Amino acid sequence: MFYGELNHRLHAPGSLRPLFSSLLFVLVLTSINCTDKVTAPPKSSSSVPDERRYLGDSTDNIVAPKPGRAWWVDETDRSGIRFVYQNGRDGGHFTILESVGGGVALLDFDQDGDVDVFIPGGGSISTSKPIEILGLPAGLFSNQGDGKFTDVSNLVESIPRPCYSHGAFASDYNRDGYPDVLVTGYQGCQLLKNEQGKRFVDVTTSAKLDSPEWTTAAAWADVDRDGWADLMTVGYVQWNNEVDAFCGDTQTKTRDVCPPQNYAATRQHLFRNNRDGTFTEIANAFGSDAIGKGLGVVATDVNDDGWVDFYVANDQVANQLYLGGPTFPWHDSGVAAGVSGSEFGAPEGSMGVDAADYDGDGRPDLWVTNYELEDNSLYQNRGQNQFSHATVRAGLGGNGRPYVGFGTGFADFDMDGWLDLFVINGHVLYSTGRSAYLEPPILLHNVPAGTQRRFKDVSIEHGGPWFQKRIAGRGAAVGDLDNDGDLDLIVVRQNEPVSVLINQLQPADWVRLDLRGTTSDPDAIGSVVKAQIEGREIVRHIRSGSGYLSQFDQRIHLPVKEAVDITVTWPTGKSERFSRLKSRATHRIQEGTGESP
Amino acid sequence: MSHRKSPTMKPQKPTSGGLPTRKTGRRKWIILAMLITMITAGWVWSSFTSSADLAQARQLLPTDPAAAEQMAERAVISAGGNFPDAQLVQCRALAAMGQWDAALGGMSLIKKPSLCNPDELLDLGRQAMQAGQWQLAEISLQSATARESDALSGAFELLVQLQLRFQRPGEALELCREWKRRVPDAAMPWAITGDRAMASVDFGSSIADYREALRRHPAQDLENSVRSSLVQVLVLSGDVPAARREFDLIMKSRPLAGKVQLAYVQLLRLEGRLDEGLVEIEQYLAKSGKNSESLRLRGILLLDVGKPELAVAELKQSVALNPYDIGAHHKLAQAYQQIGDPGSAKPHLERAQKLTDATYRIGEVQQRVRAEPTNAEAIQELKELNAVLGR
Repeated sequence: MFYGELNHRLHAPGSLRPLFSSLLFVLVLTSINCTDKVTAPPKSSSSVPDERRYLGDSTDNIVAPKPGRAWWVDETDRSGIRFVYQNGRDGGHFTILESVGGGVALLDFDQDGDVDVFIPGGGSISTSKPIEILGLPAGLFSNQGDGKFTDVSNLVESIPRPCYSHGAFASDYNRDGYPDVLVTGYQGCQLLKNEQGKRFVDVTTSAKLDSPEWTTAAAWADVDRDGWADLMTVGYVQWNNEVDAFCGDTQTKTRDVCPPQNYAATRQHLFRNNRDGTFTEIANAFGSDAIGKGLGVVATDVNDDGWVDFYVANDQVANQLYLGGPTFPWHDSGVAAGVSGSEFGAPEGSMGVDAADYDGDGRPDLWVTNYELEDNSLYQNRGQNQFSHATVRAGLGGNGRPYVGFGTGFADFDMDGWLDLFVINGHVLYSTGRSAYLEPPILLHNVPAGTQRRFKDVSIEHGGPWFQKRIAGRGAAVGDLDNDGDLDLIVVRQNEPVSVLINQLQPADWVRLDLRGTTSDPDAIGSVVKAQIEGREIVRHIRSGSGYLSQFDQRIHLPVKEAVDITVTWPTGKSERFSRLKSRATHRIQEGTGESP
Repeated sequence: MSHRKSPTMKPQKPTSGGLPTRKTGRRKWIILAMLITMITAGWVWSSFTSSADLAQARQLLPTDPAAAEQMAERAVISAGGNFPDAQLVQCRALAAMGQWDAALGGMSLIKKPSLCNPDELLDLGRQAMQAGQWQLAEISLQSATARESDALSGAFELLVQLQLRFQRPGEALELCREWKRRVPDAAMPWAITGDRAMASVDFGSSIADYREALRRHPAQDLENSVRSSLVQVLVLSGDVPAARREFDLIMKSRPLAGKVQLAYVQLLRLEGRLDEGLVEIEQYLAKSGKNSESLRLRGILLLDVGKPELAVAELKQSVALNPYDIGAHHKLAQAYQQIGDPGSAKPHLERAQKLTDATYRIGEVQQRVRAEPTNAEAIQELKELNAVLGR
């Protein structure tokens, strides 16, 4: 509809050539999501060549892989993780449900010191009408310690009718020392309680988290600073199992998934942990602002006031920033803070999200991946609840426009002390998108640019063969799967096997920090770690909800040659110093056991 | 407008009398032979005179359309009332005199307009287009495309223009398809479909079509125009390397035209060459004068390079020139915030928000009004939204 306006402006009567009276205005317009325009030729086949191509450029932009050390090697087969997230596409109904896809959680469920993998199974959609939607079982893979996994999915309680699932988010909500998992999905979430690393049991009903609502993303965080993890959930749109009206290319009569504009937004919820295994929704937690079309939410303390904040990535409507505080409601400060949309303030089709200090100023910056023809948005935290849109300044302008970005996150992949970025792309439209359904991922290296930092696209140079592939990517999580001190990647695709990418840089010097709250919530969400390394203060923020429908390994990796002193500021506001943490080791940093700084 | 009789509506004189009835066979044959000779001679004479009249009418047309019209009419009469080329010249003469109804009437009476001279059909179509005589234009131009000629591309181009004028993009694209098929070397239809695709934000098709246009070695003006559009769409789609290659090609041969220069500034910004972008925009401003778009771009660049005070000054000017520019308001608010003046930022942030909301809302309301043209509530809302957006 909006583009109808654009068409009108560009093609006023009598004009054969487009009237570019304002190129920048077009940029403003094109920064707005536009899934209702579906005209590009279909390119959904997996036979699409592996070359990285830009949108519509059939010959000129074929880029041959350049020599350079690949950071990852695809170790899926060796890892033993054989799992496919199913979105129900073969039901043939082109539902918006199937466009969402799934994520992956990295958590040490058995507390043996390495990260295990939990993958929601998605679901099936019947070919019949009315549509019947069924959930598929999740996968649980136990790490043998070296990046090889054993399928222990049988430890997840079999549920007669599991929900059609999307995301998995871990937290030790009951403070028993074992991470539990919230699985989001259509027709309700599931809370899986970890019973001493032996099995996961469904406690959704007893926890009072029963809800028929469609939930996509979630973040655990202690919002009232009582030491227990509370829960924020967001939903996508109000779609109720109906067969949609025709969406797609009307000229060729090619049917496709309907865009989110066709549906109403949904309510967001904040549940208080009652400390007895149950949750109660905080009435009026976000006032009247609490609606959106959410696909991502990240929790951390963005303004260093000691209260956890939530940043919500919405599709088609403005992103929201809820700044935490002692009293409710928390109001959306997204627009005022400058993090609600494009660099011109327009809402975007946002999906993946993360928060971390990319530029070394100690403040967590925000990052969201967006729909095609939109830049992915990097918001540089300038303090005092103000952010500036730094995408172009940080060298990311244009980079994401050809693709639909989902899984993402900040991580120091090359262990140089600076956080890099990755974006897992994949279209939501099967055959009528402007670009192909299968899209290549992007790897962005954080490099110096004078006194600033920029991101350089090193997908070709360092991505290795896997980053040259075209995939229908969705969630992804970062963690040290093989326990060698660097950060690996696990990527979920639509109806294709999960990919396990093992980092082969194998740094000689590293330290891994595993923060455990005692007075604070056990996962210490909102904590800040500061370390002096080679004359520079590195600041890392503990956050939850990073990426897309996924859970990253919460442990912090720092490049440390021999030993390092760190300062941790816990969510309680209390700071502690931990000294002489030796290199090449994992250190459990327990609240209350450090020195006064 | 006068209502002149169309040429063939004039009474025609009888062309023959009765035949002699002598029964003598030989004499009969002689008379018959004489008659045939006379008829043939008459036909030759009339053809000669009508052709001569037509030639004279054509000659008179640019300077004395009235005389041309009379001469063309004479040619038609001489030819027995059916002389498509002369009828067309008569129509052109009538058109030149502003007698459009008569011209249209005349055109509709040509039995096979497709037999007319295609160049003249194109000329009449162009004249009619310029005068807003759409029906006459369409008839003339469609006739001009009936057979292969040098006028084919010109006629297709005007026909496409006509369809677009009447918001018939489907028909326009169909004409382009036919044009591409019948004139495979023509660059223009590819340029047009490239434009249409770009307007539909189908950048992939747009880039492909522009490249097809360029492969057909268009005339310099069209090449410049297509390449300019191509670089703009490449910048918009974020294909920085390809945009750079195209700009390098353009800049080898000539300085950048105004709009393309602005796209180049955008490219420099995407490449992170902010200082060069500032130099380029300065050059643009010196050459083209201040306008809201260029001032905004300079403001954005100044913000990028960490000079929010200077950015405020530029963006204030931009907003003053175009108070409906969402991006300028939003960036001005950011610039104010960066210099620690949230109070000044607030109204611009609110304004940007209001404009954004209205921009989104108006599409829905327009659709509603189209579906329910008598819905007073929707019409009123549309009016209000248009006011908000300065339309």
